[in-house]
Amino acid sequence: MNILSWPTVKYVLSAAVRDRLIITLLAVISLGTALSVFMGTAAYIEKYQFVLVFSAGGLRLLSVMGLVLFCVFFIRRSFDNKDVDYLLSRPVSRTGFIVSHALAFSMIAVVLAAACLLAIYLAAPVTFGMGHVLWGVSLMCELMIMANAALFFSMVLPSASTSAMAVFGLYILSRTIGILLGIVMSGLVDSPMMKGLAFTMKFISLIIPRLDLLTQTSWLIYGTGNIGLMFIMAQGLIFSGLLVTAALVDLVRRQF
Amino acid sequence: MNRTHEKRAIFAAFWLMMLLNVAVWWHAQPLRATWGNVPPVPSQASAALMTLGDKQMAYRTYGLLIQNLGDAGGAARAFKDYDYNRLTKWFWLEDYLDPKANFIPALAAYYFSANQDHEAIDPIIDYLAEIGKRPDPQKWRWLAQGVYLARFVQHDYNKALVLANELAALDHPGLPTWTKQMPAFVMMQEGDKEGAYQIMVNILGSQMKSLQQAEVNFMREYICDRILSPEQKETDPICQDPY
Repeated sequence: MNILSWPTVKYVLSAAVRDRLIITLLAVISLGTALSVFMGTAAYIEKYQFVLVFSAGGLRLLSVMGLVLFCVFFIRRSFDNKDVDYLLSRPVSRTGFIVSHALAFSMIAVVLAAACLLAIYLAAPVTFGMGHVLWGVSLMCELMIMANAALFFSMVLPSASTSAMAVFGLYILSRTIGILLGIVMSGLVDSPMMKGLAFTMKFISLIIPRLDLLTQTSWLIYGTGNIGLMFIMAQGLIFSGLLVTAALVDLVRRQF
Repeated sequence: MNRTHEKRAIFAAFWLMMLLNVAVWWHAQPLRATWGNVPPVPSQASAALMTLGDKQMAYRTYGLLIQNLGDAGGAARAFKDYDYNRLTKWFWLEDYLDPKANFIPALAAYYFSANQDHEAIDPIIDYLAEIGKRPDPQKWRWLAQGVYLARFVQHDYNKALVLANELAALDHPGLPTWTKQMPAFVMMQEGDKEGAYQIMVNILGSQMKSLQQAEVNFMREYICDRILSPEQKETDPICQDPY
């Protein structure tokens, strides 16, 4: 049994090019960076820092949104056009189908993260340092996680809009989970109902990636902090693995 | 309804909607956003929620918001109309989000200190004094700026002397020698302008190499336009380009 089908990977990548995803995202990255430079230079001092932070924060969000929308609509369209049925009738196993899609989406994520890093470099070249490299790798992992989350939700949920909303919900939760856990553990929750909610929140956090610790814009200004490359890569690989296997579980149980 | 009647009804409905739209525009045109003074400060726990947990992004976004606070609906407000106590709470929130950055201290020291009501800048001086005691590089200059504001803007000699003594007592590496002489500066019965000029030139001279050009320009503008007279500005080397 092949767990990877290169023609399927190629098929997804060519769809990304055909759907003008790459060119659209490159245009969005350019516009976002230009807007950040404009806004950043309006600051009295620390203009470079403003440009970096606005560019990085904006591009991070735009890349996630662009990639998630592409992945979700691609998968749902494949179901609606019976492409999934057709592909699975070929010598491609269900595992091969999911793993190939996950790999193709992850490859797009890597290209996108590299484009964002280049844009950040071009926005303020004099500030380039190790923090930038870590930020780029971290963005790559974050985009991989979100692309695989989009794959999972679009396989599980029947509509593209519901899937996209679910992925964005997961993203917002992942970005704010540190703050929410901080509130839960601050000792401010005292009533039984709040304690119950706090317990639920802690339980949910078990399956939520800590994206609040990844791709921090402060790395671009003050260099790398206490988050290392190993933690970032481990988080990206483990959570992507969880999502891919969950999507697989759903697909192998599905009747066509 | 036959097709011709339907077509006429659709056109009539469209032009009616267009007219209503013009009426709404007519009504809304003179309306401007009203300025409700300095907005309430969010809690530390929730401050970064708006930027999805990105503290640095929150710092910079709030920073620009604070910088452009009085510009609402195309009209600028005088500093004396600002609620400085609430403004200082924003400064402290910003300090929580990024204690290393110098953007907010610079805004407080060079921009918001220009309030016509000199008593109102009390919380700003307290803020600068607190930030200036930190051992991080360059932070001491905010304490020096606090001394300057107390001595030459508020003419509060006692407060200036207390702060000057605190500055002189600092034992951070790289602190210029003149900071030890700050209490003497404060006690000098020199003319206000000369003393103010001396302190600002000292701060500028000590930090020239480590500051971004934008901040150097900001300090030069402060010296040339707010301390010196137009005649003095013409001849002072600090105010000549290129500096």
